[in-house]
Amino acid sequence: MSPVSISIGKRILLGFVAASLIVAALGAYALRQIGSVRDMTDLIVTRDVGVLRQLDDLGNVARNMGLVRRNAVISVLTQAQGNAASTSGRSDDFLGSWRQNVAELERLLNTITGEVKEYQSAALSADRVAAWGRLGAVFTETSEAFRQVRNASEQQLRAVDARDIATVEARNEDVNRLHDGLLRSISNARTALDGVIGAGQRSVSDIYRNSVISVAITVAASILLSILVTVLISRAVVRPLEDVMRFVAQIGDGDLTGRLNRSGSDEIGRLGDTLNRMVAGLSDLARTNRAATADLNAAAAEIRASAQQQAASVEEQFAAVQETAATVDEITHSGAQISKRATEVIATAQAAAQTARSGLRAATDTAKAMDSIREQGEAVAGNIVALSEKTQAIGEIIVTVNDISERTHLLALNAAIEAAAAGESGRSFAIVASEMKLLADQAKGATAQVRGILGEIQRGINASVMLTEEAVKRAAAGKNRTDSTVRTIEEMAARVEEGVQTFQQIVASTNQQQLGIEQVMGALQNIRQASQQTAAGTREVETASANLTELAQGLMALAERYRL
Amino acid sequence: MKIGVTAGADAEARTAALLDARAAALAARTVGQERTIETAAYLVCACGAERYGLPLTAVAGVTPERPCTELPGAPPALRGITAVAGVIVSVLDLAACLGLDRAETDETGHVVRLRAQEPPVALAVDRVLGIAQIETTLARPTPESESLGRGPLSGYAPPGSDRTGGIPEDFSVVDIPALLARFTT
Repeated sequence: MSPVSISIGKRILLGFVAASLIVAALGAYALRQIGSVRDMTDLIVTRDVGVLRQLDDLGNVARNMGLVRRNAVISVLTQAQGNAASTSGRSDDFLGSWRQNVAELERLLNTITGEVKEYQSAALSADRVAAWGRLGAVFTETSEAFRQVRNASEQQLRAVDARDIATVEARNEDVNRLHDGLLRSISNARTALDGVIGAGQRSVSDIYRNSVISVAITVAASILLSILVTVLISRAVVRPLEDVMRFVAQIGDGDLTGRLNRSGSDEIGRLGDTLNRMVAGLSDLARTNRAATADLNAAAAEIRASAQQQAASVEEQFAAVQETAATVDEITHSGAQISKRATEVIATAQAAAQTARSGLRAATDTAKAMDSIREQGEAVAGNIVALSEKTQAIGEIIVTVNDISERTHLLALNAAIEAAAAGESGRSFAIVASEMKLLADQAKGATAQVRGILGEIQRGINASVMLTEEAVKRAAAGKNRTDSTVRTIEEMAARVEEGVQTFQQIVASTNQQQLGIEQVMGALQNIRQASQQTAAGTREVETASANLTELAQGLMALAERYRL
Repeated sequence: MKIGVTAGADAEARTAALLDARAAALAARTVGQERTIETAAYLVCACGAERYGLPLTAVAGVTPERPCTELPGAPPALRGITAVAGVIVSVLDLAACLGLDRAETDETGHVVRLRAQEPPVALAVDRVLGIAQIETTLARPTPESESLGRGPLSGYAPPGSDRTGGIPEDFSVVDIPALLARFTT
């Protein structure tokens, strides 16, 4: 068988088929041997038992024949002494039954003799042939004895019929002797049959022994054949498998460079292809694994760094939670203070509402006062206008006075000129003229001053008029403002009322807030515990990441084992 | 101005101040008269920022300015003619005669009528301030040769040169004949 063309399954199947065939042949052979033994036994038993039974019948018939003869003899002898007439009919019956028995006996003898001859010719062993021969000789002897017995008995019975008692008695001794000889011969035949049976038993034993030996030889041969088949299968299966195992051991050592050089359509070939593909896949996997392990190493380092950062963050978080708890505590105190202050504010706001009502009254009074101020300002403005008209008149008067002083000035000058023209006589007049001129100049200066003062007065009046108008306007505006102040105060009072309600709501809200802050405190407590757990978890993560880093480095070393 | 100073005070204090001032002026003049110094009287007029003194002996009178009738073909310094006390008088602008720019003022000016001129001449000025007595040496007439270069001005009175104290400022002395010589010829 070529190792390439036949698959291992078929090889093993072939081996099994061969072994099965051997076993089947062995079984068939053994069955045949057992069958022959059984046939032999059946044959022997059938023949021997049949002959034995016939032999028994033969004995019985022979004894019956003897009994019939003896009865006939006895009846004859009995008749001879007594009532011979009454029993004459019965002597016919004795002869008839005797003849019947003789015929039966003769038939049995012939049958047995024929069977013995037949069995002798068809005997299974020489021993049996000899035994059957002896049995045949015995039967021949028996037939001879039977003939003698028959002849003698027939003569005796004829004598019985003839009522020849003497003959009967004479013959009786001889017949009895012959009959005993017959019976002895039948007994001999039985003994000879025992020999046949013993020969048959020996023959069966021989056949059994031969069968055992042949079956043993066949079993040994089949064992040898099975060993041969096993060796062949092992040669066809184990050697390629050892190659494959060597290759697999090489792979196991981490050498992924080699390839299995086996091809073919059998299982080993397909296994080789599969292993080659597996090695290719493993190489790919190892490369990927190496890269992934490097990544894993980096990632583990990052995880470790992240875990450390996280640990720091958790510490910060813990600190922040502590601070938050402190802050919330402060908020609680603040809330209490807020509630207290809000209550105070409510009292203050109610006082403010009271104040706003009195302020409303005051503002209304102020509005009335503003109205009267405006009326008085308008009156003042009228008075100032009248005053301005008076100053206008004064100005006109001043113009006249100025004109007069001017004329006086010129008049004094002309007088001085005339005095100078008059010479020495006009000297005193010149002094008068000079004085006049001085007075005129002083008057002019005074009028100039008065004019300036009047201008100032006029400007002051104008300013006063404007201021008064402004005051009137402001009084009106003040009225408006006071009105708006009244409204504002009303609104303010309303707002203060709202504020009171709002602060009452604030107080309620603050109380709720206090409850909420207590819950927040509880939550912060939980957060603190969670932070501690997180810190513990982070330390574990850090340890785990350190382990992971070591694992990743171990994995790197493992991945380095593969030679690609 | 003493009146201005005492304007806000009561009437008695004002009167007392006036009397005190007047007494002081009289006393100052008495001191000046004791020194027998030859003085001459000048009518001091204001033309713009400048002041000019006209010899009092040449002045006939002072009147307020009145409307003038302009003459065709007249020089720029001649404002025109007007009637004063029944006499037709030619009105010369002193500032224009002296070559100054006449400042246009709203106030009506004064007209100084000159004596002993034919035809009669009057000088229009911004204002006649008063009469000043100054030493004659300050206004000595200039020789003919010198008067050409100096024009119609014959002298200069520094501040405080008035003996009466009426004119505290300085002024220039005008030579009337030299001034009118341009228009009469």
